[in-house]
Amino acid sequence: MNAPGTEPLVDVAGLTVRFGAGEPVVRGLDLRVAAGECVAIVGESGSGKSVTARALLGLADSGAAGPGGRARVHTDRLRIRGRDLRGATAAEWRRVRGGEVGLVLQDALVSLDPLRTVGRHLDDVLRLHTDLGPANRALRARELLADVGLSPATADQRAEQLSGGMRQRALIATAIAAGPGLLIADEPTTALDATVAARVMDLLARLRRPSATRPGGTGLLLISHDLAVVSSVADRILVMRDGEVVESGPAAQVLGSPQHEYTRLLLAAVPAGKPRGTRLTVTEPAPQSPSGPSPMRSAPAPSVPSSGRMPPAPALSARGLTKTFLRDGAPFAAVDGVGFELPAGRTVGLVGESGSGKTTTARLVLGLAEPDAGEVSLFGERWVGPGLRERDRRPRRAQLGAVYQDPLSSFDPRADVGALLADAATGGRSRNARRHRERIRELLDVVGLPEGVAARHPRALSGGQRQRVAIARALAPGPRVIVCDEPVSALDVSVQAQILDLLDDLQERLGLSYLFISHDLAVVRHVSDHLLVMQGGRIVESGPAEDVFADPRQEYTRQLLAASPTLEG
Amino acid sequence: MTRWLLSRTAGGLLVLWAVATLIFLGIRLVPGDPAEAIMGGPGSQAPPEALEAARVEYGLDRPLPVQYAVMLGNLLRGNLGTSYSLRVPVADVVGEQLPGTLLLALLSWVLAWILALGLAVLTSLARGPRWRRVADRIGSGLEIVAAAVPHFWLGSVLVLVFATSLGWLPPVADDTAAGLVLPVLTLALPLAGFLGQIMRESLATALSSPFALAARARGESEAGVLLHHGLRHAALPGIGLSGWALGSLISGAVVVESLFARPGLGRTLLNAVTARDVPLVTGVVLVSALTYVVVMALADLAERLADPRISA
Repeated sequence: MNAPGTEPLVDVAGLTVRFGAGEPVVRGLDLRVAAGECVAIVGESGSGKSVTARALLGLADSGAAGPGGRARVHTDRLRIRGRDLRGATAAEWRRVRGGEVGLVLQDALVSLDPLRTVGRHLDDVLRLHTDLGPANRALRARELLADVGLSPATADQRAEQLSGGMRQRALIATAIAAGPGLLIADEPTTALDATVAARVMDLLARLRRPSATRPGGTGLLLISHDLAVVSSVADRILVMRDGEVVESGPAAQVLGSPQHEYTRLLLAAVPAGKPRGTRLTVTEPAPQSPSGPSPMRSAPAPSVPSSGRMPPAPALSARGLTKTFLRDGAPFAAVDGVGFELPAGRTVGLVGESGSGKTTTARLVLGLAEPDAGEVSLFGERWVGPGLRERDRRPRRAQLGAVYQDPLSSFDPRADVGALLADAATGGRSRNARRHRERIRELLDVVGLPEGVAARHPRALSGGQRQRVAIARALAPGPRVIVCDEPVSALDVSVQAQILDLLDDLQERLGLSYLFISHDLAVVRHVSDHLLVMQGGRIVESGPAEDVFADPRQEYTRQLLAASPTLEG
Repeated sequence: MTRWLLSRTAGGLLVLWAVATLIFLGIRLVPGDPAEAIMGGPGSQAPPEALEAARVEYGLDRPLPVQYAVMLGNLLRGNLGTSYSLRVPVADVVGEQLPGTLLLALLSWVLAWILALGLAVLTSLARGPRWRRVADRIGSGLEIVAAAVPHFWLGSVLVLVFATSLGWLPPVADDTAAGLVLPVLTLALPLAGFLGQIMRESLATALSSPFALAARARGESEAGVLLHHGLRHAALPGIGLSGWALGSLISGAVVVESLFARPGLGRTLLNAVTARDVPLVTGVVLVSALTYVVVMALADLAERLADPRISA
């Protein structure tokens, strides 16, 4: 065995993982991480990157979604700090986990036990990997919390009392508690707002710097679907697809002169800095409807104002929208005097962090919640406001559609795709997919899905396909305005690119108007003509999208801009 | 905490008042003359004068609202009245029979928890998807069968097997510990089936959750994950159902005590109903309701202690 320090922290060769008798999900992967180095593995969901991370801890079997069969892991070489771990016993693995390698899991929001305090979680690690007594462990736990930028009092709090960013920090504290030489962070910023995500990435970058306890620095293995997220911190990047590394090299080289076609596809998918109208997908052609009837048969031509009077009425116009909820017994204005106009055929982007009131605004605009004050007009006619009830809105409901972040939970779990679309196309009068077969075929075609999808259950579809079904369902009644609430936030960057391109195509072909809500500035910038920045229930900045980006007037907007990950390299 | 205690007490008193009222009305709606019950039942051929005397003695000749007011007044003073059939104060009868039934219910409750948690933990030990499925099927099969069998049938079968055929245990409950085994088993098994189903599911959910994976990634052993992150999650729904569990144990006790000829509140209630012994029925039901109210409050308290999310 070599002396410690001369060997890389992690030295893996020929890692192959398969579940049961299935095809390998990781094939012949080679990986080396040195002390103080940051290596990123980038790829889509299902590319095998998370399984790789878990295999380094001997936990390939513990997937959140249980694949069919036991994990079989084969390696030609598996050394962590020079120690050969092939054939390691359970007890040896337990010393590695947390002691030598810390893992920050993908799902920050659910990776802390809801019944235990943060302090108990930290105490577990210290109890398992150090000789400290209980009193010293409690002291150390407080130090660790300070290290990750949390107040020591966090030790007595539980997950539900913490925000997403704080939970992720607490998790990072548990991962570094025993001073492991390598830290693995699996999608550490998923589900976090841009500014919070940026701070978490800063923290990770800071932790790998050399310190008194770790003169060589900590190795960082970063796993993400988004090249933009890793571009600022990674020294080397491995691009993974279908279990294989298709390209690897220094970050500057991979980002600057990508050799593999797939790497170029991932780079093109990053929306940051790509002007409105640029396509994000390289290969996929715009879905073309064969000379069949338009799916918008019930809607009038959108560019012609129906009233015929001089200025065309805006698709949506909101004035003074206010909604107050009770929080901890005190009234709290979730939406406070929000107003905007959405011109027909255009996109207005609404951006802000979690809790800024974006979704409540969407619900008010959709007429799903009654505002305490203010009103909304749809194509110049009053839609939501004093004296208007759902009964008054129902005849015009078909004009307004909605697409949400999580399509699966917005679908009836018992319906297949055909039934969902039939239901939406008939206004809830029929779920008979066979009788409405032609219409369903049209709708699937317009979102670029084959007809065969109609017979399948949404659960059996990929995330991108589900979102396409959600869009088809929103289009089914023939709407002219669609409210999109975080429609791509749960998707990989490459799939997100396809959906954004699809929304662009639909707008062009059908003359749709979008109210596009997202916490991701890069996405909003890419799709919007006009931008609204929301904070604490108010619109703090608004203007043409490019102006707001070029010359943000509010400090908050500048923060959001600075936090949005962009490609560097 | 004080507010919680006050509201629980007020709620409990409300429940007791409602129970007393319902029994009062229910018994008057059933045809038949309570005076005959007092004089030894319809078969006793008591002379009309004796019946009349009994009515006066027990206040049955007065209008219903007055009888109701008298009953509530007595209850407030803790006076449960005198049993028609046993001719002794109801409080004495209940006080004599309650401990036995409580012991039976408590032992059954503990055994049901042990069986349910044990089965949940056992099935969670299965490794690999295929063994998991097999273990889940076996576990859930056992639980469904246990939850589905009626007490009287289960008791009879247990007596047939362990008392009549094998002769290991006495067929009727005596004062020995051995005499308790069959009644406790009869009560505990169905409850264990119900509890096991929910506990096994919540244990499996907890053990396959990201926070359990995170614990393993920190170097926690499987036993540690089970102990620190699994059991509390598994126990929570069981604690929440404690009130309901006790209700099912008390109603089960009526059957089990009769089946095993074991003295207790259940058998007393059965006899009292048969004899149309109004004060005794009222007393037994009220005491059961009181026990129920207390256990519900305790279960609520335990749930608050086990799940910090509630009290917040």
